[in-house]
Amino acid sequence: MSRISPRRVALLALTVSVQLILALIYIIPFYWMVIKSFRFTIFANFPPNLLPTLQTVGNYVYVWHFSAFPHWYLNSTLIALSVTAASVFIGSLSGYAFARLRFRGRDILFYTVLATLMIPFPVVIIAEYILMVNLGWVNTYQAVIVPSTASAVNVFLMRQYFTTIPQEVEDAAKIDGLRPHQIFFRVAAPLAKPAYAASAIYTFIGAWNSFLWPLLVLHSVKMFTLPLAINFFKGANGSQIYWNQMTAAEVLTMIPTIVIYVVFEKYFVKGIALSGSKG
Amino acid sequence: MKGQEIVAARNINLEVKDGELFVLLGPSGCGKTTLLRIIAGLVEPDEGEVLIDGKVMNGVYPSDRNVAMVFQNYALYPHMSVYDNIALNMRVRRIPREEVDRRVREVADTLRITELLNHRPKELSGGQAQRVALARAMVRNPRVYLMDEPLSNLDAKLRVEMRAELKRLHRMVDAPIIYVTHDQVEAMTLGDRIAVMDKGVIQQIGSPIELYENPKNTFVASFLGTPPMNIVSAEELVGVDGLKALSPPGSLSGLSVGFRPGDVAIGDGPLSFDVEVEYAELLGDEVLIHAKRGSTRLVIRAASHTYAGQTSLRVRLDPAKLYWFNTEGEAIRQG
Repeated sequence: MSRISPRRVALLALTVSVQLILALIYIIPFYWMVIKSFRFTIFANFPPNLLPTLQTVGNYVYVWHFSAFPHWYLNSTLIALSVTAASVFIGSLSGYAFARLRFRGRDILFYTVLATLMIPFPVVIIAEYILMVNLGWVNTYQAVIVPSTASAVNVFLMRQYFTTIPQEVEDAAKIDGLRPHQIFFRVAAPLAKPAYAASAIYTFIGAWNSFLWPLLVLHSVKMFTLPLAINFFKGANGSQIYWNQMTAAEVLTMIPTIVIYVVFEKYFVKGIALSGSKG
Repeated sequence: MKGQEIVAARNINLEVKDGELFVLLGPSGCGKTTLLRIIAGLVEPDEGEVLIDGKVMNGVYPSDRNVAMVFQNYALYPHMSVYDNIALNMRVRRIPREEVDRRVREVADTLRITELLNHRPKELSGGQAQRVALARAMVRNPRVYLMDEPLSNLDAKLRVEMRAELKRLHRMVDAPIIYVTHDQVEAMTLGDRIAVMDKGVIQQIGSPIELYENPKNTFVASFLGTPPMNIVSAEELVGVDGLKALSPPGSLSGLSVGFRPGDVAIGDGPLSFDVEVEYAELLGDEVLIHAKRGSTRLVIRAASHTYAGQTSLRVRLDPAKLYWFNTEGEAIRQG
């Protein structure tokens, strides 16, 4: 074995240190949030005390019992699940149509759908809000759910996957007597499970963490989702932040996304690989 | 390829009879698979009709045509077991479960795949997957079998085995089989009749031996037979003793002479000429000599003991086995 040159050792050390610093930048606030949620004091000092101390679970008890937290949790769950189910279903149907059906203007339509990804959300936010007002949907669940059900990302992801299913398999299904809708449900969709999983995870996490749109269209506290509700752990006018309670609420809010990430990590990677594949 | 229409098959007119194994033979891209897909109903023709038992099938959904198709890549449903792959068609048609089970097991027994019924397609070898694909076709008892290069993904040994298997199955079913291949050996050994296709047009239809002995043009002549027929411009052979006497009346210019590699003998005599040897392939008791006459390459099949590694040879044609082709490549008459 040849010896590793000092240059390579230095380079390796540099790479690892940069990675370590980046990792710390991400991990420290997260770590601080977790330890803070177990402390008595409501204040956040600077520099922060990073000692791992477990003083109380009272913040969690307070958040869960003395606020509408369970109700907000339910709102978030309901909205995120509805958005995920609808968006993945619609995305897979249209993705399949773009991948497999032949119709006039198909490609132009597909690229138009893709082009919507280039438009930043703030550009359409006022128009969308006015639409909600005119529909009388302000401060309803459907105001949060319906606009999110058409996702260009999901359409793209599903289309890319459906194009990888061999045409011959679908031809065989036609000869076996399956009608187009049966081919979709009995052959194409079961074969696209990895794409379904990937887009479901992305959509769920996106919907769960969504802040700006729900903030605009949900007015009454009862309708709030978790990212909005976290704001409640501030005193009037934001004069005093109850850091220990707020961090406890944040930890509770993060649990589902962390669980999903840990359980479905391989689909995350696959999803990225999919969206990067050629069409 | 926008704005450019590609005609895959044109002016095709053919009739396939009951119990017949009809082969569509041609190089890749010649339109034979498109033709098969038109018959299956997977592609609608721009013009013309597809009839099964005298009934027009245009616009009829593939499954309602009562055809079964075997694909080159097997096209099994990867997420279903072998059993479900075979049973799907009958389930769609709501055939009672006991009947489905009986027929799946019966056909699995015929194709010797009973022990594979619970496997997934990805666990099968190529040969096994192709048997499953055949079973899926047979279990329906279709009016017509369509096979699209079913053996081309198998290795050489398995291909020979499956060819024998197909012959056996063919005898068991009454329905005609339309079989697409680019492999002329497969076509010759399996086909009752062969249609040779090129560039979307049928060049000739006939029994294997008819096509081999009386090719209608240079394409058919050079497509059937291994190695293919030698086709030499008559001008290259001007001066060969006795050739003019055998040629069609008129000038030799523009004509071509065809002869099979096995119909050339080493040695002097009437109809003989010199060739330069480029290389030789020894195949045991015979040898394939690749030679050149002027700018034309020839192949000569000879008994090994008659060739001793010479770099130039005198070879003799068999006057009874010459083919003549005109400028368009059409056969004129047999010499």
